[in-house]
Amino acid sequence: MNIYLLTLYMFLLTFAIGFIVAFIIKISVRGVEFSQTIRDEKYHQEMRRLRSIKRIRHIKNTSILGKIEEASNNKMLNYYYSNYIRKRDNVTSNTANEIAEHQIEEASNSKLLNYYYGNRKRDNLTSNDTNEIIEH
Amino acid sequence: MEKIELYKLFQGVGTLLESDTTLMLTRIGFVLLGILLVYLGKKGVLEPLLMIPMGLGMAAINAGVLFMPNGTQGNLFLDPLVTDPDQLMDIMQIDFLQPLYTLTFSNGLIACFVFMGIGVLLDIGYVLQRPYLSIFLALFAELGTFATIPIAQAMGLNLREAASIAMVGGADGPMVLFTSLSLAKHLFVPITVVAYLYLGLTYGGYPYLIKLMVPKKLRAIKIEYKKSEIPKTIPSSQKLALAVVLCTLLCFLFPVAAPLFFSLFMGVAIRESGLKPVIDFISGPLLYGSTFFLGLMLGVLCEAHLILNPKILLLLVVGIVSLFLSGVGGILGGYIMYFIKRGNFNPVIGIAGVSCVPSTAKVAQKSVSEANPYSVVLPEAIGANISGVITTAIITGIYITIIPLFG
Repeated sequence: MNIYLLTLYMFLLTFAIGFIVAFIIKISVRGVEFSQTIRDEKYHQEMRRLRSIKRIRHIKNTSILGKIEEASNNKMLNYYYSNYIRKRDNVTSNTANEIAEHQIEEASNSKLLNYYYGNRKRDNLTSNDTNEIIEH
Repeated sequence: MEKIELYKLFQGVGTLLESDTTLMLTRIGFVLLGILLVYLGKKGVLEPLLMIPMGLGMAAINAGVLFMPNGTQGNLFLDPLVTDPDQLMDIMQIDFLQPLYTLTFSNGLIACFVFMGIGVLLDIGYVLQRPYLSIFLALFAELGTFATIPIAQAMGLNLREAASIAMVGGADGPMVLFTSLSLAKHLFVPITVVAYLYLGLTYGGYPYLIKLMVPKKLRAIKIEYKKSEIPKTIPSSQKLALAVVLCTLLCFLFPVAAPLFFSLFMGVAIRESGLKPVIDFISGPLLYGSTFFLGLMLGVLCEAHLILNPKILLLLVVGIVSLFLSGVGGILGGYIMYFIKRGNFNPVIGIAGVSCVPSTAKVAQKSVSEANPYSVVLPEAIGANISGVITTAIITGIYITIIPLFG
């Protein structure tokens, strides 16, 4: 074989193998970068998911708190107005109980009055009794 | 009292006087050359680790010639020409360096040890960051390795000898030793000595070649990177995986050069696996010890009557031509990359493709720094430098696989 052709052949072979080596290096670097990107993407996705859950919880909490506040305001309003407007439909059981207790207290006071009035005739009321009733 | 013949008492001088004029002058010349190498090694002009044992060995082997019992001249260092097993066993018990030569040098083990040490020192991350660029420059810097073959053949060497001496252009001592041991065993001593002598000169000679071929304006170029182009750090696991893949692939392609590939990538793999005690051992005692003994062996193999070969002058000329052409090729590769990158590349980096690790990379940075202290090209240069080692290993594989089929 001609020496020049042989040299050229070996030169081209070296070039080809050299670039195959470079290609393998590049592919492996890209491969690792790609897998790293996928890992990073998964990590970011997970972080995004956790953040969104946190945000939703925060929003929910805020809205629940708002609703609770609103509800309590309503209850208070109802409580105060219940005796006059009787919006009993909007009143929760607790509030109802509270109102009931309030009414029971009122009723007891009335009973006390009745007691005083019931057991003693007005005419027989002493000045002490009158004072007691006035105080009450 | 029996008359004592002075030339038998001082046999070094006696053998010198008994030799023919050419051999006598060659011996004196080698003794002086050896002393000069020690001096240059001490001065730092040439690599002291290699040149001091080589120079002293060269001087001692040519001075310490004696008359053997059979009347011939010989020495008590080693005999590289013995091949008969019985004779070899006898000589191993007499010549003190013969075991070292037979068991580590003639089978290429010492070259593989040096190569393993080089592998431990290489950070292939620089190649991984810019593989095409690095390999491209390294391939151009092998111009001398190829172009010298026809030149050497035209000057009278046969194909095997031409390919062996052309490997000097690859600027990698162990590769030259390995190739010449495989292709031209009768010339491996002068070829390897020539290679190591010239490799020592790259640090001093290439800066002049750079100044000759690259004007100061281009030498001062500072490479600008866009944000997206800034290379990322490569993890060690990736480097390890790549070393394993490349080693396996190249061993598949060139089983004849498998010991070299294995040694190089074993060094890289050990480095990247982080085995610190082994890294310290290979990069320290093994590398320095092997290089020292390599220099010593090369020195003692420079015995005048062994190396006195009419081809030696030819080898000296072809060797320097090969190294020169490789340097020119590297800078041409740098220029091509300069035009491809539209001026955003320093052509001096091309010289680092000549795989004399890390001398040529240092030469490139030094030349650039002289022209522009703010320009840093060392990462690109080291990438090209390491690629040079890989491409030289590939060429060694190609030569010792293909050349025997034709020559």
